[in-house]
Amino acid sequence: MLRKRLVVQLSESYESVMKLLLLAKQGRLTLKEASLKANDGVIIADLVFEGPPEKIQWFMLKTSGSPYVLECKKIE
Amino acid sequence: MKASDALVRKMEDLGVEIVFGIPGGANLPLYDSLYDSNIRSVLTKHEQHAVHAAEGYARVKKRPGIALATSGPGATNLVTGLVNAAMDSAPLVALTGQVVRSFMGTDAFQEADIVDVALPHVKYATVVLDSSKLVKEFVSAYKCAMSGRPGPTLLDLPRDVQQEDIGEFEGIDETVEPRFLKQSLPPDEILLEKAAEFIVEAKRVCILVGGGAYYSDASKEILKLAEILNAAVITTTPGKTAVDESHPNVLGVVGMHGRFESNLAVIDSDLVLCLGTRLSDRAIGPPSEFKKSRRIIHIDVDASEIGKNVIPDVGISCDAKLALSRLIDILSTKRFSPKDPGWVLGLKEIGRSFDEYMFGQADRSRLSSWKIVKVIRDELPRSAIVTTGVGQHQMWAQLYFKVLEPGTFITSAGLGTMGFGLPAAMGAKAAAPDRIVLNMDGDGSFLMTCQALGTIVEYDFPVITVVFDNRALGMVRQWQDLFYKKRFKDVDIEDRTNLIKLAEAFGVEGLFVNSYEELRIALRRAIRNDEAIVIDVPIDKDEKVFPMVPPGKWLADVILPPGFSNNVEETASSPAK
Repeated sequence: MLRKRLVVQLSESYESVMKLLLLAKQGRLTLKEASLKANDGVIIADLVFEGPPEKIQWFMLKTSGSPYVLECKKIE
Repeated sequence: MKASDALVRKMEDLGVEIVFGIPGGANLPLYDSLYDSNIRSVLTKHEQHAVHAAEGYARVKKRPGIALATSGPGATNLVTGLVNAAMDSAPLVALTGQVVRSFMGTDAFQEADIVDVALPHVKYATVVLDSSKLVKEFVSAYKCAMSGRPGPTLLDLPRDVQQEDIGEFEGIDETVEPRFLKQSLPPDEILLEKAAEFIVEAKRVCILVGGGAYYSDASKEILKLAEILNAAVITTTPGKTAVDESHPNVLGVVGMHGRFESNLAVIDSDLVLCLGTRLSDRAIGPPSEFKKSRRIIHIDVDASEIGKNVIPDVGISCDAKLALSRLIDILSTKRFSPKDPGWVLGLKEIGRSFDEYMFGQADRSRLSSWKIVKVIRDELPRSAIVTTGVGQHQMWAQLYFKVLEPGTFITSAGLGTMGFGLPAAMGAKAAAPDRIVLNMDGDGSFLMTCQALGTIVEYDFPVITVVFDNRALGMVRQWQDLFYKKRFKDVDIEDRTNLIKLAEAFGVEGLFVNSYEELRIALRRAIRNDEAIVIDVPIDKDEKVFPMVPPGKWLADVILPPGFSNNVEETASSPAK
């Protein structure tokens, strides 16, 4: 199991946030920490997930391909 | 200009020629705008028909189909079709009406939060709350449905947003943000080199073709590569439509109900090149077995598919056609000894002996399904489009119906939606009015959406339906027979539904046939006259679909029809280990 902090830039909508969390659920990741900040049409989601490395990788690729997501970065 | 008028104008600009749906209170402004448009609207009997028809249309045209529904139950009736389209990566846009903005969140009449219902399954969904953004949102949703890996999108449109005045049409910002256009990047050259190296080293190469290869239009490249490598081409269920199955290198569908020789090809291969497939358990069995004893190269336009179910030796995120073209170029610069052409020939021979065995079987009390499929293939023109429902008939179709032109086999593969066949056929006929469209259905599947016959008559979409009628939920019955000690529960349909009279009630000719010759004659007439007909063909409820790999088992654990396995050992040098 890995614990990873991801910072995701989303378009400013409820759907963006919900889709992000739905994808995490689909990937069976455990959400350990979350903070959201809306600023100038963008939502910054700062998230800490726990899960198998391949699932975290899948989540990053899946979110990067989503039209709701502007950028997904792995921080640590 | 009214926002819905602008939306319809934009739909016309984008080439939308037909929409399928049902009007209701919350989408009346949109329907009012369609009144003055050149876009043909088809009033379906149920929203599920609309969304399946939109998918059938999209799969033929390779561009988004459009489904319309009102708020509440209209919108929620779309859900099965949206998930179906997501599972099979089919592009479509659903436009749902919503209660007026001031009523949202009050549990108003026919209010349902369709965006939240659909969100886990669609590529993009949003409520359009600003009428000035309606056109832009539609363009984004339309492009998004087609870009990268295709899929469904949904826009929820409050009624007052639709009818609001938005000023001049020309002034609307229609640019699509890059996030809606996730285009395929060129393939990584280093990974392609690595893939080419592995291919050169391999002795027996399988090319596993998924549905993504169809949308990528990669048929030519697949067959060219197969010829260069003397490779066996096998397909997933959605991938069946991507290649001409009469090509000497194509063996057919692989997996739980795959062709025997296709499963043998995987078992005996030392490399599988997977194209545009999510590598579902139905196609490959347990991933650990699939990965054992062979190298895996996985090419998919959706980067998140690579490594999701099977961790490949080389994974390339790219459009299949683009990657294969480069791979062929790279291989042309390499020297390698030709792969043994005898391998595929041997597998083909096993397939032939399997067919010979099956077609040599005497009929039981009724007609044999695989022989019915053969009659249909014999009679249909090459370009005819076949759709299916879901169940045993679907598996017989995938086993015995040979696709001769890409894009001519439309089925619900991922979700397995019973009732998909008839409305999808209607959509396919709308997309290709000059081609014959035939829906192979089971009685259980057909009865789920048979009201679409009324629409078929009203809008002149002459679709031929052949019902494999065993008065049972045959596939579930087969599982109860094989895995639940024949404890048949709620699978035998003892009703007296007369499918002929039912068809006639909708204005479609119904015909009961009791021999292959009668079926042949009926098909010839329907094809010649391009007319709608429902042909009811009785089959035996104890007939099973073979081969069958039990759920969770490896391809080598296949159950073959009684008597056939000995036959193989005697007549063919099986490549299976």
